[in-house]
Amino acid sequence: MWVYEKKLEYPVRVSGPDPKLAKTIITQYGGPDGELAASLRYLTQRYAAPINEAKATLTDIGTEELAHMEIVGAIFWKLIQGATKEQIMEAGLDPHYVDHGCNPFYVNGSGDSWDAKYIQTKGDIIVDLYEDLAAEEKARITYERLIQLSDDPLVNDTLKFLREREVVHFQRFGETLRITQEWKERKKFF
Amino acid sequence: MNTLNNYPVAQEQMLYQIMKTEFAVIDTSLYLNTHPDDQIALMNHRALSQRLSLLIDQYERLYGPFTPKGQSRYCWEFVNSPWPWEISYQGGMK
Repeated sequence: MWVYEKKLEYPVRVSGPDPKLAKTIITQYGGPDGELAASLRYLTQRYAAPINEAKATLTDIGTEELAHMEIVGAIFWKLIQGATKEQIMEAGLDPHYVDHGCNPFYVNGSGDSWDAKYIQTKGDIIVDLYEDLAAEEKARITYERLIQLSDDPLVNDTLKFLREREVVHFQRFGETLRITQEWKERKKFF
Repeated sequence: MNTLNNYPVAQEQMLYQIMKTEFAVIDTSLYLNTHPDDQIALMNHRALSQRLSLLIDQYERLYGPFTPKGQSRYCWEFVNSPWPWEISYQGGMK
């Protein structure tokens, strides 16, 4: 189960309203390589994990991704605070505003809804871990492009933290894959 | 429309200490999942985890529950604002 802590994993600060940036960043909330997708993918891959290291890693990274989703949601919300009607219209965020107000929603940068087809579990830990390694890399490059596009140093500070965590998760999934493969090799000599 | 809030600086500084320490705990525990026998990492994790418990205890005594498991004295202070996404994080970060 999960218990809520009244804190963010990393502070979210913005320099001022920027609905245009908010509209691109929302993809890490509900887009194909976003934090919701990451969390749901890992958490549902746990059941067929044959070794404890993999169960623990999937659980903890799946949990941390939920905290990252909260961070991205906070960036979106803060970037819209104080925005003028003109800024919202100019950014093309008016349809979002009509449907969801200033709340973040599970959509990508083009406004398409989150889809379970973004993710997969094959029920085979090796196959799933390869998907997870790819997912972390896709999320990393997405953050790099967001940092490229953003002129807000405070937002970039938080995006850099999130990017760095993708690198760490990639590393941990790689170790999990190695440990699982070694375990499979050992099993042949029973 | 601007609804960003600040805790008093002292509270935000304390929250920031918790955030820093807990991040170190998250990172070490994730490392330990794939290196369960690493004695140095275990030692670090133990020290960080003890520090985190102390910090959360202190924080809850002053400002009320940090999680729904925390205790509250006169009224249920868990509901108090600002919530994490509303804090400006400008005061206590230095």
